[in-house]
Amino acid sequence: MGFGPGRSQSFFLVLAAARSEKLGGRGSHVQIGYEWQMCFFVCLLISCWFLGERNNLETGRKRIPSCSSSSKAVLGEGTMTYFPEEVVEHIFSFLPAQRDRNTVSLVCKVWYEIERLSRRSVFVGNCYAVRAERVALRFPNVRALTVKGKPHFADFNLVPPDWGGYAGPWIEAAARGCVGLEELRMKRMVVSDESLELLSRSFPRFRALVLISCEGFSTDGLAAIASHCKLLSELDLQENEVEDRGPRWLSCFPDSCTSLVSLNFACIKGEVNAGLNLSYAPTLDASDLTKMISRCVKLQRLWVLDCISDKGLQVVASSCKDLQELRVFPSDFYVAGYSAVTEEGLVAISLGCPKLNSLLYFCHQMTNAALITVAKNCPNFTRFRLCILEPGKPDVMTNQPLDEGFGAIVRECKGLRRLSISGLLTDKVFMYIGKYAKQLEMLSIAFAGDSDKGMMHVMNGCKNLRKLEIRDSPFGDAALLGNVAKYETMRSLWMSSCNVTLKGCQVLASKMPMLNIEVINEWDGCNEMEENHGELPKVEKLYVYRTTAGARDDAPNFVKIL
Amino acid sequence: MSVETERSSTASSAASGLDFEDTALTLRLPGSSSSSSDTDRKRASTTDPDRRAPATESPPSPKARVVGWPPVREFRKNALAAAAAAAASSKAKFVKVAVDGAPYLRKVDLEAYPGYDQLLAALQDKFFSHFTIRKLRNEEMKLVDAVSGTEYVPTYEDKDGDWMLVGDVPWKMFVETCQRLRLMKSSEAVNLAPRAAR
Repeated sequence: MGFGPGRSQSFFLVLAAARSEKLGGRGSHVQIGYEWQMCFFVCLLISCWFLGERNNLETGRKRIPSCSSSSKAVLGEGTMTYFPEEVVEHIFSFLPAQRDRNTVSLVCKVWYEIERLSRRSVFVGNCYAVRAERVALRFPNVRALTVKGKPHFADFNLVPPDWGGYAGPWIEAAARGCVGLEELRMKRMVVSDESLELLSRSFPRFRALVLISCEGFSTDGLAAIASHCKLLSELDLQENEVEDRGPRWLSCFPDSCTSLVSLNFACIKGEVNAGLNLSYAPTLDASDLTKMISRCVKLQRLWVLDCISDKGLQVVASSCKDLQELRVFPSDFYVAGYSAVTEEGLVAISLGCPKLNSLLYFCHQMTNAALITVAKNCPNFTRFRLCILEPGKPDVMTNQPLDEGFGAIVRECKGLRRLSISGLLTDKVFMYIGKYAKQLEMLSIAFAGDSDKGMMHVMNGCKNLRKLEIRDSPFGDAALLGNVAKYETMRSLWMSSCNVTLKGCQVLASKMPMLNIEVINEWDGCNEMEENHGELPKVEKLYVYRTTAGARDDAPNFVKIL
Repeated sequence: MSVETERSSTASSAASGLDFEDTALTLRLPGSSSSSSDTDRKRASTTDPDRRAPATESPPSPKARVVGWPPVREFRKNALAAAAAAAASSKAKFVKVAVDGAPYLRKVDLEAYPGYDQLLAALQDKFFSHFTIRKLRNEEMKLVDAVSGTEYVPTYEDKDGDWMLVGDVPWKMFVETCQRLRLMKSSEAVNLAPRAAR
């Protein structure tokens, strides 16, 4: 070929980009459109490096000892001869983000091999999207593994117990194939004491364990970790269901354990400069609370209960100018109760804290005017979650739906990645979301919308949508089937107490074989559903996700996978 | 949005609103009408006293609770409940209890009981294992000594110094106002303050 090495790289990169658009979300789950940028960047990197190193390349160091023979064959054909493995690996080290690493893996076999053997960190957003063995085989040198299990609504008891999300297969696969593992993060998974024991004995360099919203283990499992993980430096347990068998496990840390630097049991104490979590302290006097917060002028992250009241939030707004994340939790869970925070507190915060980008706000009332003001004051929101405790509650001043308020949020906050909406909402809010929320990745909907059109706006408009979770909203088969190709680009869809029927799910299953369609019925057996076939029974809970692993074999009998 | 638009969207969601009832997740507070939950939502406002009252007086009936709502993790709900309970239990209200004919008095913590039934059961435990509690048609409560057949009427002294019949006022109000308890023999309980009109 008359191409020089630089141009042949570009050629391959362009080819890869074209190929990966066709592949869509399969395998490495690459974002469509994004890899054009990345390919260009990588191409640039390679070209710049090549220009500088041109004189040294004629010797053609081709040591790739750990590559398979097929890549050596490719090598021999002269496409990658000028780039030794170490060089390419070094270039890849500038691309730590998983998305980018997935992209470069698609360029050619050699790059795939180099990338997978040098991958240090793997993120699995859905434990059923891919087989654990496959991940362990592909990335034998991984150091940090993150796996997520149950769908998000499991946090609110919408997923029956024993649904799944078992950590066992992942720890076992890693124990067999990835002995260099140092960090394990799991969220919403079922972790047994046996698995923790295996974990503690399998990885000599293990140093960080993070379990969030997990269950299935006891303090005995923690004792194993404490006893055998000699290099443990981080143990982070947040909001897990742990069976407490006494404090004995705390004394299992060996006397020689000098490595532990971070121990977190759901509450943060101590330094209040970075973050303050007061969300478990309902008895704190409101005035003491505000006095303390008014002194924390460097506070970036604040979690509080609504006892802080609007007045307290005004103090926060005037003191904490660096605030980036605010969470206001409810102290009273009754939907028709009373809360000391209202839309006024939120407006005050938006006025005083211009750096605010992440919000979780529970309250009993909201107005469109307030939301419009908040949107104008804080266009930097990346995460905006508003929960009005009474489902379907309108604007408290005008009695109108809150479509305009949330519409303003998505219109002004161009970087919005996560959104949870509440209150009285019609299809119009979804029209706004589909039109403006182009960076949105996760959307949570409850008690909202009028018709299938609502969900369709979102499915058609939100180009970057990855997770969609819906409960108690009037979306049915037409919405479910309106854009089936979309599901391939998403991690998952959850729909509960909506209008989807079994027939609709079956149609989806037949059209999209690369999806798992899980129909979850707690009380009905599958038989009853089939008998009522003619009456189009509603599906109580539906969980749809893309997968390369096929139907999972650990599903309980109340889960039917179509 | 015009009111007309609101109504039509109510109608369409009311049509599909059957599903809400089918799934037994209703938003109705105890005692409210059986109209569609959507209509309830749209007409409600925070200042409506009927909406607020049931929630503050007693826990909402199961119908008023929605599964998995509000979206707060169980861990957090439990932790908050535990913290609140710990705070509440530090507030105790011990009052003397005298039983006619008994040689000495006892004390009970009124804050420890959620209602009259539990209080009476506790009194029964504390004093005589052979008491039984009889509730009459008009909801008058009596403790009966099964051995001797003597009837005792639970009475209490309120903040004004008057001796009242136990059971007339809401529990929380009783706990606040009660200064001491006396289990009075029925034969002597003829001159008590008249029951508050229902």
